Amino acid sequence: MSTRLPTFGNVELTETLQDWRLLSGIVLFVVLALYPGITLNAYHTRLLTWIMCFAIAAMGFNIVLGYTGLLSFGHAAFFGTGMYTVVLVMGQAGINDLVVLLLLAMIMSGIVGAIIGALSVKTHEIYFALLTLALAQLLYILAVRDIGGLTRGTDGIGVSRPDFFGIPVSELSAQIYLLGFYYHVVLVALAATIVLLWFVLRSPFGLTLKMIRENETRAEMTGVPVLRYRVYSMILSAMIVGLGGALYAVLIGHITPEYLDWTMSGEIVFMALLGGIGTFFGPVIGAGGFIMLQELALSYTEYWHFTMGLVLFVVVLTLRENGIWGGAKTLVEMITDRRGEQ
Amino acid sequence: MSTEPILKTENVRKDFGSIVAVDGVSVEFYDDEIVGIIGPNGAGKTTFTNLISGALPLTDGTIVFDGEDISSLQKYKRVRRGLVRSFQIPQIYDEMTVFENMQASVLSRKQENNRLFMPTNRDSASVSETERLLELFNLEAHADDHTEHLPHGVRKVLDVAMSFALEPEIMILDEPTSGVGSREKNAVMETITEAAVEQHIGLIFIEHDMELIRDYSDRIIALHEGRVLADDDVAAVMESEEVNQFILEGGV
Amino acid sequence: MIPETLLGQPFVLGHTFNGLYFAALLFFASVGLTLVFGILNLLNMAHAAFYGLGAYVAVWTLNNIGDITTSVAALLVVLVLVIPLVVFVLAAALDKSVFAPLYDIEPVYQLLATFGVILMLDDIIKYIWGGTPISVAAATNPSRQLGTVDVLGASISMYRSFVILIAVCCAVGLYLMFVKTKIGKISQAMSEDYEMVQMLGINVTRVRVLIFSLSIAIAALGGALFVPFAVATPAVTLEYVLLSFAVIVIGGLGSLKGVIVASLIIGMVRSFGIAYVPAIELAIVFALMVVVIIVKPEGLFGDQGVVE
Repeated sequence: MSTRLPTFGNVELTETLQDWRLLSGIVLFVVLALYPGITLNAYHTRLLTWIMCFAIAAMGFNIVLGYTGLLSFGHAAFFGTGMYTVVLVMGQAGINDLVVLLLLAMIMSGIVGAIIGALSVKTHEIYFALLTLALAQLLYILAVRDIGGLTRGTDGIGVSRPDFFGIPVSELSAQIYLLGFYYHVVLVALAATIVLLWFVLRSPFGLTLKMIRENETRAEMTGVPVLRYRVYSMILSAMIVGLGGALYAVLIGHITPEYLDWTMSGEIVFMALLGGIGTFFGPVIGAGGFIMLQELALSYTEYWHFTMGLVLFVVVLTLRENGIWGGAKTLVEMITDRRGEQ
Repeated sequence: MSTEPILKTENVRKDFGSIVAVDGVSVEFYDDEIVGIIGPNGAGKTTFTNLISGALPLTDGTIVFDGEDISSLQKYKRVRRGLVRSFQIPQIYDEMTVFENMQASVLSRKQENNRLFMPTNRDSASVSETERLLELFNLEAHADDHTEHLPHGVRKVLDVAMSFALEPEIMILDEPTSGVGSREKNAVMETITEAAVEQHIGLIFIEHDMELIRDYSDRIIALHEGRVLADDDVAAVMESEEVNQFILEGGV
Repeated sequence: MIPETLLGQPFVLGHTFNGLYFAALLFFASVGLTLVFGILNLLNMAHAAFYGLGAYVAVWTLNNIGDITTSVAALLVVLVLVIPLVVFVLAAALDKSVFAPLYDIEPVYQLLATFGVILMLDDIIKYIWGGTPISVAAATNPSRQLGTVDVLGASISMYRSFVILIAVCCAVGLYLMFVKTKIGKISQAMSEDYEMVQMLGINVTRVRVLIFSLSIAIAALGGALFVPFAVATPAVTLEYVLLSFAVIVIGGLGSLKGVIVASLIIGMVRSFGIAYVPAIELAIVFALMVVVIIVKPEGLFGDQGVVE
């Protein structure tokens, strides 16, 4: 929901609210930035890095589902493209700088996004879901069967640690690399993604995507080249999901075609939905919720699929596009409303 | 009246399989008149407007707008040139507020859809224009309401207002008062025609209510079985024997 | 470079036969998916998971109820009648509970909720039968006992012929059900206008449960018939979920004829693909799916009714 300035509504309140949000954002960022240095807890740092990689991916995904209104079941293609770009550029071209690798990964994912976007631009709803699924699955088969001789099939490829602007951080021990360097790279990438999307999705561009989501006929009859904007939406989404994939590839150090499979797409959808596809921050919360839930379920039972399936089922039936983040927001609003009445 | 027509159709034809829905219609429209289109159900009125707006491809014939052949121009490009339509069933964005609906049109007219970093609520130019338009159409009280809960009449006005925001040369209205209570019909038409005259927009409206047609049109085009039965000023068409036989008495 | 023997007549015959066998399995796995979507407007991603379930139940049953003395006929009756019947009852219960709330939500949410069902079913199977592949013991495996016959130099499995026969019977049976019976005619009407049928005072819930359970039972039948020739693994479920979607999309959502034709196409593509271009055999299937959605999104027969 937009809060407009300067008239209509309470200006002071909205401005205070924005200050409050910005302030808590900065505090959260600082706390997260200091966390590994203070606790030196490698397990938690790794978990947080993992969550943040997927938070980026889920936010990128939600541009297509939440804002443009199209369910893609093929986003693993972009995540996997990001991953494979990192490992292949490192292995084949010998480029070892993290920033270059991340940029190349985003560009490659963007190109794949443009292709899949252009091919699927005229389909809707389940046809869009099934078409993106089939297209992504073609990439998966390409990687599994090692067509082109680059991916080593199901064995996968190891990823070595990249350097940073010529600084040989890769020579650090694995633990210090993560705690002292890589975690912070991912944190900054997530913060940058949030800030970028905060502005982009509130801009006329973001409004245009919402127009397409709400009523494509009307958008077209308002002079919007709908098909072109749907492709833009896919490209932007693919680039950000690719960034998430590229960051994740370095974190886990070994990649296999599984990250291109449709179940991976399903997991990204799941995260966004869990947090709330109708909200801005939902996908971030969803990624955290999904991964922590998975860790929690795994520590009690080997049957964590069941737990995850049940949660997905219940979320779809109860919270829908609100997810847990939207649900929590509604709850807070209800409580404050009641207080206001008394 | 202007000397050059803004919109002209030449022998426009549309077949659906073996059915001829629009059969060689040649008419002209000017940007300072209000034209009512009448005809019994199945006369081809809505098909005709769909051909003009580009929602359906032509089988044959040409459409000329502002001196240019637009027969195969994409829909959104026709809109950008100033050929706009509204819908019989209001087409608005449900999960957005009235303000956002309106601002969406304003920004699209300015072709600013690709602006990436300016939050829409901080874009003072489009915000103030949106406010002005909401006032013009008496919608300011609803500005912050989500449109899905609005009464039908308000949705209808919003739909038309969003088309006005595009500052068209010609606007096609498909039954602008359908679903609006009989007492409000005149008010709706009044608002629309006043705004049209003020902004020099040519209006084409399809209507079943003969009183509205008589009261608000400068000229009437009567369609019957996909052909033009009459195309003249109000009095002449209303008195035409053929029109009376096929349309007025046929129970519209 | 294709070796000359691969072009020989017995070879082509053998692969055509295998293509028919694949097609039969695909038909079992997907026909219910398309019917449930066409008639009940439910897009059940978990549909083919019941194919996987059928496979597991069949392995367990064959390995536990029979021994070397059990007749082949008895084994086949278990596969073709007993297991589908049990799953039918189970599906009816699931329709009333788990699936009931899904009928009223948008297709996109149906897809997501039933993806959750796949995950749950996956673990239920792992909980009961473990995560390692299991297979039918030789002593009670009808495919071994039926053996093969030589036709024009190609070795044709009697068991596979039986599976193809059952698929044909099943297709004919469904066709007759839709054309001849009252339930079938109501179903057809529901596929065209669900609300109208409801307003006529017909108990649509009963028809719904019947169609849903029958659809699931056919999927389980497919899994049961599949397993004497293969192993039951969790991956089977996921593979058939994808393949069944390819089938119904290519055939056209909601069309019985479409499922039959698309099953045959994909069955043949796979059979000959495995022989000639094994690396991209699956890629052909998905490429076909892509082309159909882009060029003819309604599929080969999707713009027609259930049985036309």
